[in-house]
Amino acid sequence: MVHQEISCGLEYAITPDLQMCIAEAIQAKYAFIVTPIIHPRYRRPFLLKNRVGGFTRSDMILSPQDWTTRIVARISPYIDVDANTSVVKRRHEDCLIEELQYCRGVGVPAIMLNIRSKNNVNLARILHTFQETSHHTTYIWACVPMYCASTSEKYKDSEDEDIAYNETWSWWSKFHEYMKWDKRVGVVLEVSADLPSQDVIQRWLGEPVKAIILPTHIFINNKKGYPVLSKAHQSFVTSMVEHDAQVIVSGARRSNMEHYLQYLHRIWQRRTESAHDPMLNFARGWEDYLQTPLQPLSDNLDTHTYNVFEKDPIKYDQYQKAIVSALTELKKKKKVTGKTHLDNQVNAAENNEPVVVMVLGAGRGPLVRATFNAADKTNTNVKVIVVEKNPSAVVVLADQVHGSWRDRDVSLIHGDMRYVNLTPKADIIVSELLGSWADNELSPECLDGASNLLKPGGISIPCQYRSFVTPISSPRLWIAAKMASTGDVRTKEKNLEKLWVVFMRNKHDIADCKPVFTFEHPAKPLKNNDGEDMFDHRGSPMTDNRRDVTITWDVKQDNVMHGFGGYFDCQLFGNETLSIVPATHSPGMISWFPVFIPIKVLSASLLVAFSRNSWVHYCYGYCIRFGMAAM
Amino acid sequence: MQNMKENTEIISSQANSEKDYENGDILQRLHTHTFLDFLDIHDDNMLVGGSDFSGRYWDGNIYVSTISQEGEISTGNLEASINTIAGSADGCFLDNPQRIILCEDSGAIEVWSFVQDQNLWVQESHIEEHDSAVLTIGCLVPNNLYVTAGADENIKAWDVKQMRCTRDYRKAHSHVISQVAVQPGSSDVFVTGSLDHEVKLWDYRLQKSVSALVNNDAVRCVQWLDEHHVMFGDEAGSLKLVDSRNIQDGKSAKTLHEFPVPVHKIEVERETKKMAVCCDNATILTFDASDKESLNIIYENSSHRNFVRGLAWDTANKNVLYSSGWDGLVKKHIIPNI
Repeated sequence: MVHQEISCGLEYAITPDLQMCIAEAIQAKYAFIVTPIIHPRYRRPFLLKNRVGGFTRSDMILSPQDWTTRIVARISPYIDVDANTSVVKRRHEDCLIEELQYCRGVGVPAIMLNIRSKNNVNLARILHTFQETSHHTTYIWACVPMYCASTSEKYKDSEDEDIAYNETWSWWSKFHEYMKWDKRVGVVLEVSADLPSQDVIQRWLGEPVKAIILPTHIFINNKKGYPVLSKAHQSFVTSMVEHDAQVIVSGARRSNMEHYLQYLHRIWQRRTESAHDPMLNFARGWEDYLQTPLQPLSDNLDTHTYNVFEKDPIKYDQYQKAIVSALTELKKKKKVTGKTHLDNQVNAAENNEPVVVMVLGAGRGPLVRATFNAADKTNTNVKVIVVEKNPSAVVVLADQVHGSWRDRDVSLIHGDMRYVNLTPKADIIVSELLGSWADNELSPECLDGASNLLKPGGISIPCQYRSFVTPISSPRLWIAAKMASTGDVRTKEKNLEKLWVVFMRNKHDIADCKPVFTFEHPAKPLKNNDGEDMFDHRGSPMTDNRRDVTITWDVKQDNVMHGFGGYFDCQLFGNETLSIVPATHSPGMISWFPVFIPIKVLSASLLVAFSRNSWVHYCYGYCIRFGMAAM
Repeated sequence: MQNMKENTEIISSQANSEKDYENGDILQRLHTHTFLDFLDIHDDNMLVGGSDFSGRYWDGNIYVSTISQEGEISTGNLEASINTIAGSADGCFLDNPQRIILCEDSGAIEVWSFVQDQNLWVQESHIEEHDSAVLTIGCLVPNNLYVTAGADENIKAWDVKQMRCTRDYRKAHSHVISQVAVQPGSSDVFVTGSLDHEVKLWDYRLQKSVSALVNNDAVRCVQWLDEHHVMFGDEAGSLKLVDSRNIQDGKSAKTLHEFPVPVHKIEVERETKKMAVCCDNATILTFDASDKESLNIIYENSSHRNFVRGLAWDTANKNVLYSSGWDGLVKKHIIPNI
């Protein structure tokens, strides 16, 4: 869920007077504080015989509400449960468990600890046990620096400028893997004074970043003496906050702590275009929320679903424009053929003959309205034939036929477009059958089935569409897909073999978006062995929608791939298009969220073969194969 | 003496009545909840610093007292002790017993001075530039240039006359820096030990570390044995020696003693080559460090009731060692001659 407001916390290296520190932070309008809850210098004498006194102060100094809402507890920095020497390891295990249990006892919402290397097996094991035995959710925030100075020193001759930034990402990535991508585990990024390349930043945006730590030393003072951030840091902070990260101000008090917070609020409010994107507004609350794709063929859509889709401000405008240019195109054609006709009377009769437009799968009628508008605009006489299979939608359509469309030439057919047989045939077929990944809902099979309804040389809107994929890294989406409950326990194991419709936010594109399959309408019929076009018994051209494609990508940096983002673009007619491909997304269009196509086994190789199997009733089969790309 | 008896309370009253002085006798019992972390001696003045880890306030308590020439002990100006807001992990006298510099858990460096006529310690300056707890301080040039380091992984050098940071080694280590130790006789060279397993050699005149050694375990303390040799202790309890001129790799360090617990602090009496060591337990060991191949234990005392944290050699009497601990006690030890 996107926070409308930026949520900021204040880190205390030490809280000598905990109550006062909280009061001070709240006074400065911070939402929470990060603090050690056991003195970081207090090495507990586990083996000392006469151990007297508690290992920290009494929790009674704070109200239970303060503990559960205001405090993020930091584990003592010296604890290293993956130390080389086993005696050290064991001693630190005792300390860690004591601290974790104390945190659980006081009920802090999150526990923060540092990840300092790739070797965290034992830490993950202890945390895993801790999570398993907790009755309420305590988040684990693994803190990693963005930049590893010692790696940079070690490889100072390396040409790879990102090497010291990649290192810390790999610490986190390994730890996350050891934690089995548990949803209760997130990463906290300590922002460095220099920022890495966009590639590295984008990869972090794909991780579940719970918070970013802004050390006060990365702020600079402006002319008036207030702390501000560089342009690069500003945009980094806003994009992180847009991805649900909270902000923690940490380090020496180089300025009044209120100034940092006020400044952060200012840059958050100042953030430009993205805040006003209709898609973002529409999708608020749906970020990274997985949905099963609609199955409009087997399930009839309900009125609320129609309601949502009809609200799209862009889609039906585009359709209307496409119908306008299709009608104009037909007129031009008729004029050309008209001139060759010697018989003027026939010519006139043809000119008066209405253009037959079929709306296939009309729903509650938005495309019918678009057709009438287009006809009015081009001053064309149209006959509209409306085909719809959903009885509830037919009720609404029938009402309009007798009501607002009373004066129009419109007929309503209740039936499945694949099986109805109509005369006259259509000059134009208009349909909206595309799924988020183009061919995953009704197209192209339903439309092919209806191809006998189209006159030879007639126009289909849309006339062409393509599916696209981008390999992505998103532990969050992957684990959500794996764990999603669809009601049926038996199908759970198929979770990673399905497409999921989701407004993806917490993900990182590993490589470019590339086209997969292309479909055209009207489709060219198959040829038989003699090279002749083949038709079925109803006279529809026989088509083959099986496809195979192999795609390779060049990958610039280390990544863990979790699946693909699936998109489509579509040519309606002429220059009118619809697209949800990120680079060419139709501005303001909200009808489609993309799909997430998880892969079952996480792997790093990136040669992918997609095949689309033949279509049986309403089951779509896709097969994704991986191979090692030849280097 | 009268004053002292009041402060030694129950624990040692018997011992004191029988003998004038016994090793491990309680010199001061300063504060019931104070974890006494460090000691510094300036002529016949003693600086004792500590913090509270288990009470409501994790504040600091600093005491300055005088030790008389005869080796007798006076608790001095206890009423005028310093109470700092955050705890204090290290500190030392500046030019005279009336001025001290303190490292705070809050990241602040503070200078305090004693106003004689008011019998009062006054804070002269308070500078927050470290991003987390300052854990250790070393003196490059007395009353002039000091070096501090801490949990923020930074090392900073300070001109204490102007209270200005003159050198900032940012991310000098990749984990908490546990100790800094200045080379004897030098005003530029120092070593640091860190929980990132490394011991690094620095020169104030240079921007980057001179050399580094990677140890198998987190380094808890460092100290110069003489002008070339560095002792360090680690989390696994090993006490190791390395030649600062050959600090390249982990193998160059030689283990001289193994403790059952992490080594916390090493203090060397360089004239008599005696080395006192305390660990994460209540025992103080003193070694004869004249032979760099092997160490001989010459003194052992386990009379503290909690971890021993602070150690300091008397500047006049080379046989006297002071210790402080998390039991809130300061003790005096007479170390036999080698």
